[in-house]
Amino acid sequence: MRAFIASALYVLTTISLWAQSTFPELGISTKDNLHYLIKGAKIHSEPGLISEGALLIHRGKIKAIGNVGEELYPKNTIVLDYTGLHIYPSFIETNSSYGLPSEDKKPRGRGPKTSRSKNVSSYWNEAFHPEYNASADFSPDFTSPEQLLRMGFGIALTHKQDGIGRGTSSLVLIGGENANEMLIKEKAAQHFSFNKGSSSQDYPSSLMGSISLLRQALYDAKWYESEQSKETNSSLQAFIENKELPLIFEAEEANDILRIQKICEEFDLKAFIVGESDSYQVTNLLRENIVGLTAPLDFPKPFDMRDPELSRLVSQEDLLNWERSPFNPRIIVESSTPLVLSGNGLKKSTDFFKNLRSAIKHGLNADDAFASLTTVPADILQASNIGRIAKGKLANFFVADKDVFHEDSPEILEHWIKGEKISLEQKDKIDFAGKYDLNLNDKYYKLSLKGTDEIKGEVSLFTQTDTLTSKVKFSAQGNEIVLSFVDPKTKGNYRLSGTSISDNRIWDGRGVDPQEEQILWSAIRVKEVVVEKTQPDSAQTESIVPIPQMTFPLTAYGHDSLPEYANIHIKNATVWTLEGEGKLENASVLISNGKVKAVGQKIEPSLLEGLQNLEEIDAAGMHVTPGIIDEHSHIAITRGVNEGTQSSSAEVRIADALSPGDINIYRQLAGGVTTAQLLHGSANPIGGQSAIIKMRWGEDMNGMIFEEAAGFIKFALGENVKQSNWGDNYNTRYPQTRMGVEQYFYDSFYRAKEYGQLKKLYEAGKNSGKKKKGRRKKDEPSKKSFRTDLELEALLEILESERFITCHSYVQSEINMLMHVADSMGFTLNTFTHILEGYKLANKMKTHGAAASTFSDWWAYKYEVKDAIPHNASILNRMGVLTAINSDDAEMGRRLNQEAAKGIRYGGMTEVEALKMVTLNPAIMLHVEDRVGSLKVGKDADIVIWDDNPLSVYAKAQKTFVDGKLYFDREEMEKRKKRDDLERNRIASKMIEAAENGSATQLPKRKMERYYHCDSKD
Amino acid sequence: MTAKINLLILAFTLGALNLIAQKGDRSVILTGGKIYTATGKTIENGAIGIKGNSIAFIGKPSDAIIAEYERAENLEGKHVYPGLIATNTTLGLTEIFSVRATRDYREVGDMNPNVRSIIAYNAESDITTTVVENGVLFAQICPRGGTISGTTSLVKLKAWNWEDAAYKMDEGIMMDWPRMFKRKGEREDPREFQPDGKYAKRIQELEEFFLAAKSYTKTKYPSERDLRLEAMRGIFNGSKRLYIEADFIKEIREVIAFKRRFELPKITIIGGYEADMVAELLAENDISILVRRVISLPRMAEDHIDAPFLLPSKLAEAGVTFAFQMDGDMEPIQNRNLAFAAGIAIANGLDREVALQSLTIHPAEILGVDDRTGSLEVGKEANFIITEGDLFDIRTGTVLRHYLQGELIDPENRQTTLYKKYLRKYGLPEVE
Repeated sequence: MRAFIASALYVLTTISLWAQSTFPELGISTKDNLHYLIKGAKIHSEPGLISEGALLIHRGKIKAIGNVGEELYPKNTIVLDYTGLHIYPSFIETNSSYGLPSEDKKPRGRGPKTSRSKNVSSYWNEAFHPEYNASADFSPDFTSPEQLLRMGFGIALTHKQDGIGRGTSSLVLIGGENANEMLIKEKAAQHFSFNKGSSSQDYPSSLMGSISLLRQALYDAKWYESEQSKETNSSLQAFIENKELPLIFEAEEANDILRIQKICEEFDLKAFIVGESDSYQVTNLLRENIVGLTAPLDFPKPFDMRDPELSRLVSQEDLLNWERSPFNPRIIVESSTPLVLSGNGLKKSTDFFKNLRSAIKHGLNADDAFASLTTVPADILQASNIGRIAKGKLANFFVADKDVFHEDSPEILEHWIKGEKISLEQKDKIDFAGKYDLNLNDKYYKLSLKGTDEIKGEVSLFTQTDTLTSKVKFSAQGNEIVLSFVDPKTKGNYRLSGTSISDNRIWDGRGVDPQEEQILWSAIRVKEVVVEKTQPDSAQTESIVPIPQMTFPLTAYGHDSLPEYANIHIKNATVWTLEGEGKLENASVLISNGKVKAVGQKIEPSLLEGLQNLEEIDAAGMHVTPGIIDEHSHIAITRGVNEGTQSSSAEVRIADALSPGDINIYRQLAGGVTTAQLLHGSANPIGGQSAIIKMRWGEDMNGMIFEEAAGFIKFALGENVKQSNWGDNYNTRYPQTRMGVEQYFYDSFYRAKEYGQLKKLYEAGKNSGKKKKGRRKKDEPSKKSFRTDLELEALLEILESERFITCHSYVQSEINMLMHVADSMGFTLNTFTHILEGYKLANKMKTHGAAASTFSDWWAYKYEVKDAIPHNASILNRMGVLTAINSDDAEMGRRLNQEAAKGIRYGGMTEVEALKMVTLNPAIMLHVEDRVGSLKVGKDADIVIWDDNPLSVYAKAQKTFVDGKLYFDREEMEKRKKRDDLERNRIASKMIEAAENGSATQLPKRKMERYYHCDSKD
Repeated sequence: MTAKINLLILAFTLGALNLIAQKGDRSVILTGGKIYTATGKTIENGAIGIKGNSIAFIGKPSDAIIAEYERAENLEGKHVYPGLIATNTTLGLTEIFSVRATRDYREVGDMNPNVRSIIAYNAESDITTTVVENGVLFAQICPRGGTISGTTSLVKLKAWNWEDAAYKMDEGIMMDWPRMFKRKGEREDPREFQPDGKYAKRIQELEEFFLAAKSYTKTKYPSERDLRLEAMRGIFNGSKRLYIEADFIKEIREVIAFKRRFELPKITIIGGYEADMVAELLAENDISILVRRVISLPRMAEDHIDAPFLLPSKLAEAGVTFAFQMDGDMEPIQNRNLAFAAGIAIANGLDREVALQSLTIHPAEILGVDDRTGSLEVGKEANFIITEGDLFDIRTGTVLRHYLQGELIDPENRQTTLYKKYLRKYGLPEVE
């Protein structure tokens, strides 16, 4: 009865598993109906779960695991004894383009390129192509699978790493030859990045442009989804159709993770991020919309640090990151973000396991490591049939000689893909290393062999007086061995061949002696006392390397810990309040809770009461001023300061591309600068949105932003927007003349006005629509949908005086023109920056109400600045125009106090007037004067202590406070320099040691610090 | 016959000079000012006497014979400094950087020792006059580009034409030491900095060129004239100085070895960002520095944040002679800030006297004109400026008067003209 049931079950299951195929049979068919039973191995079926027993496989799937009774498999089952071996579910590589062709850069001619390469239904920008699906190109022929299989990867989420909207990835198996068999999920996830890839279109050329393109596309998709009347757009269509798939984002650097997070918040999305080895720097800032984070096991290679001079080329940032990157996986886990490990970038499986073990030695829990390669990615990808060894899952697993998470240098012997075995190493390879007694026609030698792959050895001959030895050449092919050596005594040559038998206990064969006579020979393996390898216990704690101290930011001159609020009483100083009294001799400033609590020659004693840990600074002979404000700066911006590829890029935001680790932030602090407006470049008439930041060295990119500061945008006029100095290939973009610039502004503002009207109608319709449904007149705009246009939103804000213009400008004609444009559009042009001919129309600027932010003495670098004069600021100031002096330059930015002093030299400003040029006046210009710009009770304690008159060339900022926190201290700076030098030495020796231990190294090199100016083309 | 004509010319010339001396201010004694002589001596309440184009007296007014001068003037509270000398500049070779037509400093080719900056020098440059305004009276005009850029000349900054301007013609050769590092990406958009594998090959090419030049110049009148090699003659016999741009310590050491190998008598390094690390070696080999622009950023994030500010004082401590220069962004116009750059160096530990000397007598020595100018000494040319106060501080360093070869020159320029014009437009009075 039982047998009957069993056989009935067998028949049923067999029938249900009969494989059918669409391929025609071209010869004798091969049937796929074998059962495999693997027994004896340690089956690591999923993290934390080890099954002893057996594994039954049939037709690509796992039929049973554990105690597999004989009734479960037929008699002709192939039974394999894998005693001593380890079995794991195939790892899943989530960052892969396995089986996909590489994308070539699309051809592009000279000059501007604004249109798509192919005029087909798609998004207007070819960097956004969500309609692409990897399955269309997937072919196992493109990539060799061997190294992946040897790393344990049997499954890959493969996508084409090209573009911003990259399309969908496929989930594929690795190792098989037939694409149809290997593809297990056509569309597995949607992929995105900030890298425009092979697109031939100019836009976007910057990081902030990439982010804007993506945001606009997401708004477009919203609009398209609700109303599809206007166009058929295959890209948006595809994006919408794939909306439910997991969203995977590539981050090129740690700060990209924060950028992605911001987008996810804006659009209510959840993202899985493929990060780099530096992700640990931001994990404390991650929120729930980040559902997973991939950490590469391809850690940075050590640099060749032997040359003390050449190696100075290696940046501190790279040194510190090298030491910390092996902690990256552990820190991600500790931040409660689901971790996924990736082998992407690694060429050799030995490196993969070395780095995996390194991550574990650096504190990553072994089970977490296991999960990060199997169950976590499977769960994120909602792929239920992979990632675990369990009944019903795909028979995708690998066989290793060791516990890969607990033992060093494991080797993967076999990888089973969909129930098909792929042999990688000879499983029962004979270990020839050992000692043998060699008998050549009753002549006795001792033989000893060492090594596994390359076997070396020697023979010894005992004579009465001593022991003679000589080297042995040994090779083996399967069980057949070849041995040759020179007799240590007679120097005659022996050449032997034979067979290893009885589990390599005995060798037996024939050969020739030095006289070329045939001889018989044999060898017996000498029993050795085998030291039992201690099996590592998974519970046993390995010695874990402690995480080195972080600095903020993780680069040269970083803080050991972020500065905090302090109560500080600065006494006996010359205090430049820049309020009514200008400057006070022998005065005090009291700082508490980040604000100026008191300022004056006498401080009410009651104010000092109750202040805890009040620190007194005797500033006798010193000068105290408000922090310097740079109205025009381009520091701390990464991957492009211009999105000058279109005449208007009002949609881009500098705040998206901040670089909080830029050393220039620290350098500006050393020059007393505490606030700056970071501007878009001047490559187009309408640039991008500014970021107003405080120099909070060590804070993350969002922490630098000046809270609640008004929105600003860069405009530009003249040679740059006309592309006058870009060469002969750039003479087709509109506008090419100052005449065209005016018309471009009018057109843009009219577009914005019309957009505003449409938006109002939509809003009104949306509200009224709730009351009376479904009665819509023919010409009424749609109530259902409205396309948010990020560019026009920004322009609309200008028209509504919610966003203010800082306009790059030089010659008087165009300045005059822009004021007319503003007047006719009903807004005030906030600031003309550079404004080198401002002195020619100061009266007109005064009437309009525009401010001027100028250079002290730059001129003659292009034709439009030939009439610039260093007295410009003085004339403007005397004419009642709100005037500032700015830098536009990282170097000048840290000497703005000196640049202000040029107002005294050229045109005779008073000292207080001159200092206001770089403090109070730019504060008013930036609409932040209620917070900064002067020393007044209640304002932010952004304060500088100078050792001399701040307008003197001899003055140096000794201490710079931002929000009452000490961000720069000159003495501390000297200490940090020494600290960094010591760290460099320490890490250099570690790198040299790593190199000596066989680690591949890289030549000293560094990423260049980029210095942007208005004129920078990107 | 010839002698007669020469005599006539001489008589005529002397007569003309006399005429100017009477009309202009060619016999005057200025008293009461603080005189910085740049010889290590500062005279409080001093007197400086000019006769013709030379300094006739320096010292205390009580020691001077006032009656010997046609005119005497009291400079009470004012400061007197030697006129400043700007080195390594393209003043007069370019006017508006972005306009190609005004760029005359870079010839095509890699080895151009024969091109001469002097003949392209525009004595009427609008930029130059603004530089003079701030006390710079002389400038070393230098070509750019290639490995050997060309031949330099020292000019005075008030002149009718280049011949008139030439103060020491063809005094040196400008060269750029091959870089050990190459930059990946474009100049505008650098991505990465890494050791250059072609460095050794470029050095070899350079050595071959010098070897050829050295052999060539052994013959005084070669049968076939090679303009490039001919131009190199002076650097082997010491009549010309070789200026070599190098910043990285290894490159600087290479330059020192190069000097020894080719027995080059006069070498000056331009830049020398890391020169303080080999200062002793430089001093030993008598190599001076045209020090990297003080108002610039450190090269690397790890460097001392004040590295360019500190370099002059470090060099001075180690006994290396140097002069200030402003090569870098907007270099021609920046020459007017030369004195302030020295001021920053003072704020970072440079001795005031050394700072002054590095703007005056040190560049004069390097350029080989210290017998004529660079310090205030009797017998030297009367090249000096009078300032409101401390020259090095922006607030006080306003230059009131400029004497060039004894002549009071007018620093009026395009900018001051426009300034006055627009003050008039708005009815604003000039602020003193």
